[in-house]
Amino acid sequence: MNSPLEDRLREALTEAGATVDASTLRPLQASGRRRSRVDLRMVAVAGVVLAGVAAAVLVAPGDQQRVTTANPPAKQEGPIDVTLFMCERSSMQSPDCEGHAATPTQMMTMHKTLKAMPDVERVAFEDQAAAYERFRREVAGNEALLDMVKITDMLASFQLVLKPGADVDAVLRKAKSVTRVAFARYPKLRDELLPDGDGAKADVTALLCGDNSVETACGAVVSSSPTKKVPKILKTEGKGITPAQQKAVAAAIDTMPGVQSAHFEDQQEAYENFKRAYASSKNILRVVKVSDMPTSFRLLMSPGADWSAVIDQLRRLPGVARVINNRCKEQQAKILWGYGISVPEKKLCGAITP
Amino acid sequence: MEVEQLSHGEVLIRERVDVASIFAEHHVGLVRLALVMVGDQATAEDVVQEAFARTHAGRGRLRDPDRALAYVRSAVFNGCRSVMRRRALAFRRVVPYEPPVWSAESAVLMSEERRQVLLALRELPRRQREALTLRYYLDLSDQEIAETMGIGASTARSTIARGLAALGRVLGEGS
Repeated sequence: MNSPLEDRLREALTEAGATVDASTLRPLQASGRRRSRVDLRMVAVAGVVLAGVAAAVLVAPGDQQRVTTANPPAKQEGPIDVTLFMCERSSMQSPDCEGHAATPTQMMTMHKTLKAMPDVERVAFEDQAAAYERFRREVAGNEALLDMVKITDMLASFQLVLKPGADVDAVLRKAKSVTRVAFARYPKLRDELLPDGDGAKADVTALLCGDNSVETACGAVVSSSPTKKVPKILKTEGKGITPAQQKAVAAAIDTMPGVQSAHFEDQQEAYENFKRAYASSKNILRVVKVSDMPTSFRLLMSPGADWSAVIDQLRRLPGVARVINNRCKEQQAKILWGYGISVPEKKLCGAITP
Repeated sequence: MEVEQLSHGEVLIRERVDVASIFAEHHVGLVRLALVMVGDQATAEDVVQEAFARTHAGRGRLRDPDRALAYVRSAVFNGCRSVMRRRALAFRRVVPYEPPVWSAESAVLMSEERRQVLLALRELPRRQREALTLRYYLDLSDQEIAETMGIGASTARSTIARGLAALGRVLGEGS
Protein backbone atom coordinates (compact mmCIF):
# COMPACT_ATOMS: atom_id res chain seq x y z
CA MET A 1 0.00 0.00 0.00
CA ASN A 2 2.89 2.33 0.76
CA SER A 3 4.85 3.78 -2.08
CA PRO A 4 8.64 3.56 -1.93
CA LEU A 5 8.72 7.30 -1.41
CA GLU A 6 6.50 7.02 1.64
CA ASP A 7 8.72 4.30 3.03
CA ARG A 8 11.81 6.41 2.47
CA LEU A 9 10.24 9.35 4.23
CA ARG A 10 9.07 7.22 7.11
CA GLU A 11 12.48 5.67 7.57
CA ALA A 12 14.30 9.00 7.36
CA LEU A 13 12.05 10.58 9.98
CA THR A 14 12.31 7.56 12.25
CA GLU A 15 16.06 7.59 12.00
CA ALA A 16 16.24 11.31 12.69
CA GLY A 17 13.96 10.93 15.68
CA ALA A 18 16.02 8.02 16.95
CA THR A 19 19.05 10.27 17.29
CA VAL A 20 17.43 11.70 20.38
CA ASP A 21 18.88 9.92 23.35
CA ALA A 22 16.13 9.71 25.92
CA SER A 23 18.62 9.27 28.72
CA THR A 24 20.20 12.66 28.15
CA LEU A 25 17.04 14.75 27.99
CA ARG A 26 16.85 17.57 30.46
CA PRO A 27 13.84 17.19 32.72
CA LEU A 28 10.91 19.49 32.09
CA GLN A 29 10.41 22.38 34.43
CA ALA A 30 7.40 24.55 34.85
CA SER A 31 8.15 28.23 34.66
CA GLY A 32 9.38 29.76 37.87
CA ARG A 33 6.67 32.36 37.85
CA ARG A 34 4.02 30.06 39.08
CA ARG A 35 4.46 27.10 41.24
CA SER A 36 4.07 23.98 39.25
CA ARG A 37 0.77 22.40 39.97
CA VAL A 38 1.25 18.89 38.89
CA ASP A 39 -2.06 17.49 39.87
CA LEU A 40 -0.79 14.36 41.44
CA ARG A 41 -2.62 14.97 44.61
CA MET A 42 -5.63 13.03 43.56
CA VAL A 43 -3.51 10.35 42.02
CA ALA A 44 -1.45 9.78 45.05
CA VAL A 45 -4.24 9.41 47.44
CA ALA A 46 -6.05 7.05 45.14
CA GLY A 47 -4.10 4.43 46.95
CA VAL A 48 -0.58 3.33 47.43
CA VAL A 49 -1.38 0.40 45.15
CA LEU A 50 -1.16 2.50 42.11
CA ALA A 51 0.79 5.52 43.14
CA GLY A 52 4.05 3.84 42.36
CA VAL A 53 3.14 3.17 38.79
CA ALA A 54 1.88 6.66 38.31
CA ALA A 55 5.23 7.82 39.54
CA ALA A 56 6.98 5.59 37.09
CA VAL A 57 4.93 7.05 34.30
CA LEU A 58 4.99 10.65 35.34
CA VAL A 59 8.61 10.98 36.21
CA ALA A 60 10.41 13.09 33.68
CA PRO A 61 12.91 11.00 31.74
CA GLY A 62 15.76 12.88 33.30
CA ASP A 63 14.71 11.43 36.57
CA GLN A 64 14.88 7.89 35.44
CA GLN A 65 18.43 7.56 36.45
CA ARG A 66 17.63 8.63 39.92
CA VAL A 67 14.79 6.20 40.12
CA THR A 68 17.18 3.49 39.13
CA THR A 69 19.75 4.47 41.67
CA ALA A 70 17.17 4.64 44.38
CA ASN A 71 16.21 1.10 43.60
CA PRO A 72 19.24 -0.67 42.24
CA PRO A 73 18.13 -3.40 39.87
CA ALA A 74 21.59 -4.53 38.94
CA LYS A 75 22.13 -6.60 42.01
CA GLN A 76 19.27 -8.87 41.17
CA GLU A 77 20.13 -12.51 41.51
CA GLY A 78 19.47 -14.85 38.65
CA PRO A 79 17.97 -14.21 35.23
CA ILE A 80 15.50 -11.33 34.80
CA ASP A 81 12.17 -11.74 33.04
CA VAL A 82 11.07 -8.88 30.86
CA THR A 83 8.04 -8.87 28.59
CA LEU A 84 7.40 -6.36 25.85
CA PHE A 85 3.77 -6.13 24.78
CA MET A 86 3.55 -4.84 21.25
CA CYS A 87 1.07 -2.28 19.96
CA GLU A 88 -2.04 -3.64 18.37
CA ARG A 89 -5.17 -1.86 17.22
CA SER A 90 -6.94 -3.01 20.32
CA SER A 91 -9.84 -1.15 21.86
CA MET A 92 -7.82 -1.33 25.06
CA GLN A 93 -4.69 0.03 23.52
CA SER A 94 -2.22 1.98 25.55
CA PRO A 95 -1.85 5.63 24.42
CA ASP A 96 1.86 4.94 24.21
CA CYS A 97 0.93 3.29 20.92
CA GLU A 98 -0.65 6.53 19.76
CA GLY A 99 -3.18 4.64 17.69
CA HIS A 100 -0.44 2.73 15.99
CA ALA A 101 -0.08 -1.03 15.51
CA ALA A 102 3.25 -2.73 15.05
CA THR A 103 3.73 -3.88 11.46
CA PRO A 104 5.12 -7.34 10.68
CA THR A 105 8.36 -5.69 9.59
CA GLN A 106 8.65 -3.86 12.89
CA MET A 107 7.98 -7.10 14.74
CA MET A 108 10.77 -8.77 12.84
CA THR A 109 13.15 -5.89 13.41
CA MET A 110 12.29 -5.99 17.08
CA HIS A 111 12.95 -9.71 17.24
CA LYS A 112 16.29 -9.32 15.53
CA THR A 113 17.29 -6.36 17.70
CA LEU A 114 16.39 -8.19 20.88
CA LYS A 115 18.22 -11.33 19.86
CA ALA A 116 21.33 -9.34 19.05
CA MET A 117 21.54 -7.73 22.49
CA PRO A 118 24.31 -9.15 24.64
CA ASP A 119 22.20 -8.83 27.79
CA VAL A 120 19.41 -10.93 26.32
CA GLU A 121 19.73 -14.63 26.90
CA ARG A 122 16.49 -15.91 25.41
CA VAL A 123 13.65 -14.42 23.38
CA ALA A 124 10.26 -16.08 23.05
CA PHE A 125 7.34 -14.70 21.10
CA GLU A 126 3.69 -15.03 22.06
CA ASP A 127 1.24 -14.08 19.36
CA GLN A 128 -2.24 -12.70 19.82
CA ALA A 129 -3.92 -16.10 19.61
CA ALA A 130 -1.60 -17.64 22.17
CA ALA A 131 -2.06 -14.66 24.47
CA TYR A 132 -5.81 -15.07 24.19
CA GLU A 133 -5.60 -18.75 24.98
CA ARG A 134 -3.56 -18.00 28.04
CA PHE A 135 -6.05 -15.31 29.04
CA ARG A 136 -8.97 -17.75 28.74
CA ARG A 137 -7.10 -20.27 30.82
CA GLU A 138 -6.02 -17.85 33.50
CA VAL A 139 -9.29 -16.04 34.05
CA ALA A 140 -11.43 -19.15 33.61
CA GLY A 141 -14.59 -18.77 35.65
CA ASN A 142 -14.76 -14.98 35.35
CA GLU A 143 -17.39 -14.96 32.62
CA ALA A 144 -17.92 -11.21 32.70
CA LEU A 145 -14.26 -10.56 32.02
CA LEU A 146 -14.09 -13.26 29.35
CA ASP A 147 -17.01 -11.60 27.58
CA MET A 148 -15.39 -8.22 27.76
CA VAL A 149 -12.03 -9.02 26.26
CA LYS A 150 -11.89 -10.32 22.72
CA ILE A 151 -9.05 -11.99 20.93
CA THR A 152 -8.46 -8.79 18.98
CA ASP A 153 -7.88 -6.93 22.25
CA MET A 154 -4.92 -9.13 23.07
CA LEU A 155 -1.34 -8.09 22.42
CA ALA A 156 1.48 -10.11 20.98
CA SER A 157 4.57 -10.01 23.16
CA PHE A 158 8.27 -10.72 23.26
CA GLN A 159 9.21 -12.57 26.40
CA LEU A 160 12.82 -12.06 27.26
CA VAL A 161 15.10 -13.65 29.73
CA LEU A 162 17.95 -11.29 30.55
CA LYS A 163 21.26 -12.40 31.95
CA PRO A 164 21.76 -11.91 35.68
CA GLY A 165 22.88 -8.36 36.37
CA ALA A 166 21.62 -7.08 33.00
CA ASP A 167 20.78 -3.41 32.62
CA VAL A 168 17.00 -3.58 32.27
CA ASP A 169 16.63 0.13 31.51
CA ALA A 170 19.13 -0.05 28.68
CA VAL A 171 17.35 -3.03 27.14
CA LEU A 172 13.99 -1.26 27.35
CA ARG A 173 15.43 1.91 25.86
CA LYS A 174 16.92 0.04 22.98
CA ALA A 175 13.73 -1.91 22.33
CA LYS A 176 11.62 1.23 22.42
CA SER A 177 13.87 2.85 19.87
CA VAL A 178 12.84 0.16 17.38
CA THR A 179 9.14 0.87 17.65
CA ARG A 180 6.47 1.81 20.13
CA VAL A 181 5.89 -0.68 22.91
CA ALA A 182 2.44 -0.84 24.47
CA PHE A 183 3.60 -1.99 27.86
CA ALA A 184 6.90 -3.20 29.19
CA ARG A 185 6.80 -5.57 32.11
CA TYR A 186 9.87 -5.96 34.29
CA PRO A 187 10.39 -7.19 37.85
CA LYS A 188 10.77 -3.81 39.51
CA LEU A 189 7.44 -2.67 38.12
CA ARG A 190 5.65 -5.55 39.75
CA ASP A 191 6.26 -4.20 43.22
CA GLU A 192 4.83 -0.87 42.20
CA LEU A 193 1.88 -2.23 40.28
CA LEU A 194 0.93 -5.08 42.55
CA PRO A 195 2.36 -4.58 46.00
CA ASP A 196 1.40 -7.35 48.36
CA GLY A 197 0.96 -7.34 52.07
CA ASP A 198 -0.34 -4.05 53.43
CA GLY A 199 -3.66 -5.38 54.63
CA ALA A 200 -4.74 -1.99 55.90
CA LYS A 201 -5.37 -0.70 52.42
CA ALA A 202 -8.82 0.69 51.85
CA ASP A 203 -11.38 -0.98 49.59
CA VAL A 204 -13.04 2.30 48.75
CA THR A 205 -11.60 5.80 49.06
CA ALA A 206 -13.76 8.91 49.11
CA LEU A 207 -11.63 11.94 48.33
CA LEU A 208 -13.01 15.12 49.78
CA CYS A 209 -13.02 18.49 48.09
CA GLY A 210 -10.03 20.64 48.89
CA ASP A 211 -9.65 24.37 48.30
CA ASN A 212 -8.89 25.14 44.66
CA SER A 213 -10.35 21.81 43.65
CA VAL A 214 -10.56 21.10 39.95
CA GLU A 215 -13.36 18.60 40.37
CA THR A 216 -16.72 19.61 38.99
CA ALA A 217 -18.21 17.73 41.92
CA CYS A 218 -16.68 20.44 44.11
CA GLY A 219 -18.12 23.27 42.05
CA ALA A 220 -15.21 23.78 39.68
CA VAL A 221 -16.28 25.30 36.38
CA VAL A 222 -14.70 24.15 33.19
CA SER A 223 -15.03 26.25 30.09
CA SER A 224 -16.86 24.71 27.21
CA SER A 225 -14.56 25.54 24.37
CA PRO A 226 -16.03 27.34 21.38
CA THR A 227 -14.03 25.32 18.89
CA LYS A 228 -13.12 21.71 19.04
CA LYS A 229 -9.48 22.53 18.64
CA VAL A 230 -9.09 24.22 21.98
CA PRO A 231 -9.32 21.92 24.94
CA LYS A 232 -11.53 22.80 27.83
CA ILE A 233 -9.81 24.81 30.48
CA LEU A 234 -10.55 25.24 34.13
CA LYS A 235 -12.27 28.57 34.70
CA THR A 236 -13.27 28.62 38.31
CA GLU A 237 -11.85 26.49 41.04
CA GLY A 238 -14.09 24.49 43.31
CA LYS A 239 -14.65 24.99 47.01
CA GLY A 240 -13.30 22.88 49.81
CA ILE A 241 -15.55 20.72 51.93
CA THR A 242 -17.04 22.56 54.89
CA PRO A 243 -16.83 21.15 58.43
CA ALA A 244 -20.60 20.64 58.40
CA GLN A 245 -20.42 18.72 55.11
CA GLN A 246 -17.59 16.59 56.44
CA LYS A 247 -19.63 15.72 59.49
CA ALA A 248 -22.53 14.80 57.27
CA VAL A 249 -20.33 12.53 55.16
CA ALA A 250 -18.99 10.80 58.28
CA ALA A 251 -22.51 10.33 59.57
CA ALA A 252 -23.70 8.95 56.24
CA ILE A 253 -20.85 6.47 56.15
CA ASP A 254 -21.78 5.27 59.63
CA THR A 255 -25.22 4.30 58.44
CA MET A 256 -24.12 2.63 55.22
CA PRO A 257 -24.69 -1.11 55.18
CA GLY A 258 -21.66 -3.08 54.08
CA VAL A 259 -19.06 -0.67 55.42
CA GLN A 260 -16.95 -2.50 57.94
CA SER A 261 -14.83 0.41 59.06
CA ALA A 262 -13.94 3.93 57.99
CA HIS A 263 -10.83 5.95 58.62
CA PHE A 264 -10.44 9.68 58.08
CA GLU A 265 -7.10 10.57 56.55
CA ASP A 266 -5.98 14.16 57.03
CA GLN A 267 -3.62 16.15 54.83
CA GLN A 268 -0.57 15.34 56.89
CA GLU A 269 -1.19 11.61 56.76
CA ALA A 270 -1.95 11.80 53.05
CA TYR A 271 1.30 13.65 52.52
CA GLU A 272 3.28 11.01 54.40
CA ASN A 273 1.81 8.31 52.17
CA PHE A 274 2.49 10.40 49.12
CA LYS A 275 6.10 10.92 50.14
CA ARG A 276 6.56 7.21 50.58
CA ALA A 277 5.03 6.40 47.21
CA TYR A 278 7.03 9.05 45.37
CA ALA A 279 10.27 8.69 47.31
CA SER A 280 12.21 8.20 44.12
CA SER A 281 10.91 11.23 42.23
CA LYS A 282 12.41 14.31 43.71
CA ASN A 283 10.89 16.53 41.04
CA ILE A 284 7.40 15.59 42.03
CA LEU A 285 8.07 15.85 45.74
CA ARG A 286 9.48 19.32 45.25
CA VAL A 287 6.25 20.74 43.91
CA VAL A 288 3.73 19.00 46.11
CA LYS A 289 3.08 20.37 49.57
CA VAL A 290 1.09 19.14 52.53
CA SER A 291 -1.58 21.72 51.73
CA ASP A 292 -1.97 20.21 48.28
CA MET A 293 -3.13 16.90 49.61
CA PRO A 294 -6.80 16.05 49.76
CA THR A 295 -8.40 14.63 52.84
CA SER A 296 -10.31 11.40 52.48
CA PHE A 297 -12.38 8.72 54.08
CA ARG A 298 -10.98 5.25 53.56
CA LEU A 299 -13.46 2.45 53.88
CA LEU A 300 -13.09 -1.26 54.40
CA MET A 301 -16.06 -3.20 53.08
CA SER A 302 -17.64 -6.29 54.57
CA PRO A 303 -17.48 -9.41 52.45
CA GLY A 304 -20.48 -9.67 50.16
CA ALA A 305 -21.46 -6.04 50.60
CA ASP A 306 -23.15 -4.07 47.84
CA TRP A 307 -20.28 -1.87 46.75
CA SER A 308 -22.14 -0.08 44.03
CA ALA A 309 -24.75 1.22 46.44
CA VAL A 310 -22.10 2.57 48.78
CA ILE A 311 -20.07 4.15 45.99
CA ASP A 312 -23.17 5.66 44.42
CA GLN A 313 -24.29 7.15 47.68
CA LEU A 314 -20.86 8.57 48.46
CA ARG A 315 -20.62 10.18 45.04
CA ARG A 316 -23.79 12.12 45.64
CA LEU A 317 -22.75 13.61 48.97
CA PRO A 318 -21.83 17.31 48.88
CA GLY A 319 -18.13 17.86 49.49
CA VAL A 320 -17.05 14.51 48.03
CA ALA A 321 -14.73 15.09 45.10
CA ARG A 322 -14.28 11.59 43.85
CA VAL A 323 -14.85 8.02 44.92
CA ILE A 324 -12.31 5.40 44.05
CA ASN A 325 -12.85 1.68 43.97
CA ASN A 326 -9.42 0.41 44.91
CA ARG A 327 -10.25 -3.22 44.28
CA CYS A 328 -11.24 -2.41 40.74
CA LYS A 329 -8.00 -0.52 40.24
CA GLU A 330 -6.17 -3.52 41.56
CA GLN A 331 -7.89 -5.79 39.09
CA GLN A 332 -7.02 -3.39 36.30
CA ALA A 333 -3.42 -3.51 37.39
CA LYS A 334 -3.44 -7.30 37.37
CA ILE A 335 -4.80 -7.43 33.83
CA LEU A 336 -2.29 -4.83 32.74
CA TRP A 337 0.49 -6.86 34.28
CA GLY A 338 -0.66 -10.13 32.76
CA TYR A 339 -1.63 -9.05 29.27
CA GLY A 340 -0.44 -5.50 28.75
CA ILE A 341 -3.93 -4.16 28.16
CA SER A 342 -5.91 -1.54 30.02
CA VAL A 343 -9.53 -2.51 30.47
CA PRO A 344 -11.45 0.70 31.13
CA GLU A 345 -12.81 0.84 34.63
CA LYS A 346 -16.28 1.54 33.35
CA LYS A 347 -16.24 -1.81 31.63
CA LEU A 348 -14.40 -3.75 34.24
CA CYS A 349 -16.42 -2.57 37.19
CA GLY A 350 -19.49 -1.41 35.34
CA ALA A 351 -21.76 -2.71 38.04
CA ILE A 352 -19.87 -0.74 40.61
CA THR A 353 -19.07 2.41 38.71
CA PRO A 354 -22.01 4.32 37.29
CA MET B 1 -19.53 -1.03 23.65
CA GLU B 2 -17.66 2.05 24.67
CA VAL B 3 -14.09 2.32 23.60
CA GLU B 4 -11.76 4.11 25.90
CA GLN B 5 -8.04 4.53 25.74
CA LEU B 6 -6.22 4.29 28.99
CA SER B 7 -2.52 4.08 29.58
CA HIS B 8 -1.11 2.38 32.59
CA GLY B 9 -0.80 5.87 33.99
CA GLU B 10 -4.38 6.71 33.29
CA VAL B 11 -5.66 3.45 34.60
CA LEU B 12 -4.70 5.01 37.85
CA ILE B 13 -5.51 8.59 37.21
CA ARG B 14 -8.83 8.07 35.47
CA GLU B 15 -10.15 10.33 32.80
CA ARG B 16 -8.81 13.60 33.99
CA VAL B 17 -5.69 14.53 32.21
CA ASP B 18 -3.43 17.36 33.06
CA VAL B 19 -0.93 18.93 30.78
CA ALA B 20 2.00 18.16 33.02
CA SER B 21 1.48 14.44 32.89
CA ILE B 22 0.95 14.47 29.14
CA PHE B 23 4.25 16.23 28.76
CA ALA B 24 6.02 13.92 31.16
CA GLU B 25 4.62 10.84 29.50
CA HIS B 26 5.38 11.96 26.00
CA HIS B 27 8.49 13.98 26.65
CA VAL B 28 10.81 11.93 24.46
CA GLY B 29 8.27 11.66 21.66
CA LEU B 30 7.64 15.40 21.71
CA VAL B 31 11.35 16.17 21.59
CA ARG B 32 11.70 13.80 18.65
CA LEU B 33 8.83 15.49 16.88
CA ALA B 34 10.38 18.89 17.50
CA LEU B 35 13.75 17.57 16.39
CA VAL B 36 12.56 16.50 12.98
CA MET B 37 11.03 19.95 12.64
CA VAL B 38 13.85 22.15 13.89
CA GLY B 39 16.83 19.92 13.29
CA ASP B 40 18.78 19.73 16.51
CA GLN B 41 18.16 18.25 19.88
CA ALA B 42 19.10 21.26 21.98
CA THR B 43 16.61 23.51 20.23
CA ALA B 44 14.03 20.73 20.18
CA GLU B 45 14.34 20.35 23.93
CA ASP B 46 13.99 24.10 24.36
CA VAL B 47 10.88 24.15 22.24
CA VAL B 48 9.26 21.39 24.25
CA GLN B 49 10.33 22.99 27.51
CA GLU B 50 8.91 26.32 26.45
CA ALA B 51 5.66 24.81 25.30
CA PHE B 52 5.45 23.00 28.60
CA ALA B 53 6.14 26.12 30.65
CA ARG B 54 3.61 28.09 28.65
CA THR B 55 0.73 25.66 28.78
CA HIS B 56 1.57 24.72 32.29
CA ALA B 57 1.80 28.28 33.47
CA GLY B 58 -1.65 28.80 32.05
CA ARG B 59 -2.52 25.84 34.18
CA GLY B 60 -4.10 24.18 31.23
CA ARG B 61 -6.26 21.38 32.36
CA LEU B 62 -7.67 19.24 29.67
CA ARG B 63 -11.01 17.66 30.08
CA ASP B 64 -10.79 15.66 26.95
CA PRO B 65 -8.07 13.03 27.06
CA ASP B 66 -8.51 12.19 23.40
CA ARG B 67 -7.61 15.68 22.45
CA ALA B 68 -4.96 16.32 25.06
CA LEU B 69 -2.10 14.97 23.02
CA ALA B 70 -3.18 16.86 19.92
CA TYR B 71 -3.28 20.03 22.00
CA VAL B 72 0.17 19.46 23.42
CA ARG B 73 1.53 18.63 19.98
CA SER B 74 0.05 21.84 18.65
CA ALA B 75 1.86 23.75 21.36
CA VAL B 76 5.12 22.10 20.36
CA PHE B 77 4.41 22.82 16.72
CA ASN B 78 3.81 26.47 17.44
CA GLY B 79 7.12 26.55 19.25
CA CYS B 80 8.85 25.01 16.23
CA ARG B 81 7.27 27.55 13.94
CA SER B 82 8.47 30.46 15.99
CA VAL B 83 11.96 28.98 16.13
CA MET B 84 11.96 28.74 12.36
CA ARG B 85 10.71 32.30 12.12
CA ARG B 86 13.33 33.56 14.51
CA ARG B 87 16.02 31.79 12.57
CA ALA B 88 14.76 33.27 9.37
CA LEU B 89 15.09 36.67 10.96
CA ALA B 90 18.64 35.76 11.85
CA PHE B 91 18.17 36.26 15.53
CA ARG B 92 20.97 34.99 17.61
CA ARG B 93 20.47 31.52 18.96
CA VAL B 94 20.53 31.24 22.68
CA VAL B 95 21.62 27.64 22.69
CA PRO B 96 25.06 26.55 21.63
CA TYR B 97 25.23 25.62 18.00
CA GLU B 98 24.41 22.05 17.23
CA PRO B 99 24.40 20.92 13.62
CA PRO B 100 20.96 19.96 12.33
CA VAL B 101 20.38 16.24 11.80
CA TRP B 102 20.09 16.76 8.08
CA SER B 103 23.38 18.62 7.78
CA ALA B 104 26.57 17.09 6.41
CA GLU B 105 28.13 17.55 9.84
CA SER B 106 25.62 15.11 11.22
CA ALA B 107 26.35 12.53 8.58
CA VAL B 108 27.70 10.24 11.26
CA LEU B 109 24.27 10.08 12.81
CA MET B 110 22.32 9.28 9.69
CA SER B 111 22.84 7.53 6.43
CA GLU B 112 23.27 9.67 3.34
CA GLU B 113 20.04 8.43 1.81
CA ARG B 114 18.00 9.39 4.90
CA ARG B 115 19.69 12.75 5.04
CA GLN B 116 18.72 13.47 1.45
CA VAL B 117 15.09 12.76 2.26
CA LEU B 118 15.16 15.10 5.24
CA LEU B 119 16.86 17.79 3.19
CA ALA B 120 14.17 17.44 0.56
CA LEU B 121 11.54 17.71 3.28
CA ARG B 122 13.09 21.01 4.37
CA GLU B 123 12.47 22.38 0.89
CA LEU B 124 8.72 22.01 1.15
CA PRO B 125 6.36 24.72 2.33
CA ARG B 126 5.78 24.66 6.06
CA ARG B 127 2.32 23.16 5.99
CA GLN B 128 3.30 20.31 3.74
CA ARG B 129 6.34 19.62 5.83
CA GLU B 130 4.32 19.53 9.00
CA ALA B 131 1.58 17.37 7.56
CA LEU B 132 4.06 14.88 6.16
CA THR B 133 5.88 14.72 9.48
CA LEU B 134 2.70 14.01 11.37
CA ARG B 135 1.65 11.37 8.90
CA TYR B 136 4.91 9.59 8.31
CA TYR B 137 6.59 10.08 11.63
CA LEU B 138 3.70 9.81 14.03
CA ASP B 139 1.38 7.80 11.79
CA LEU B 140 -1.49 10.08 12.66
CA SER B 141 -4.84 9.90 10.89
CA ASP B 142 -6.12 12.74 8.71
CA GLN B 143 -8.39 13.79 11.53
CA GLU B 144 -5.59 13.84 14.11
CA ILE B 145 -3.33 15.76 11.76
CA ALA B 146 -6.12 18.24 11.17
CA GLU B 147 -6.60 18.74 14.90
CA THR B 148 -2.91 19.20 15.56
CA MET B 149 -2.44 21.68 12.74
CA GLY B 150 -5.72 23.46 13.19
CA ILE B 151 -6.95 22.79 9.67
CA GLY B 152 -9.74 20.71 8.19
CA ALA B 153 -9.37 16.98 7.64
CA SER B 154 -9.80 17.29 3.91
CA THR B 155 -7.19 20.05 3.79
CA ALA B 156 -4.86 17.77 5.73
CA ARG B 157 -5.43 15.01 3.20
CA SER B 158 -4.80 17.19 0.18
CA THR B 159 -1.79 18.84 1.83
CA ILE B 160 -0.24 15.42 2.36
CA ALA B 161 -0.91 14.40 -1.23
CA ARG B 162 0.60 17.62 -2.55
CA GLY B 163 3.52 17.35 -0.14
CA LEU B 164 4.31 13.82 -1.25
CA ALA B 165 4.20 14.82 -4.89
CA ALA B 166 6.46 17.78 -4.21
CA LEU B 167 8.84 15.66 -2.19
CA GLY B 168 9.07 13.19 -5.05
CA ARG B 169 9.92 16.01 -7.39
CA VAL B 170 12.60 17.42 -5.11
CA LEU B 171 14.16 14.01 -4.62
CA GLY B 172 13.92 13.22 -8.29
CA GLU B 173 15.82 16.34 -9.13
CA GLY B 174 18.25 15.98 -6.29
CA SER B 175 19.46 12.47 -6.94
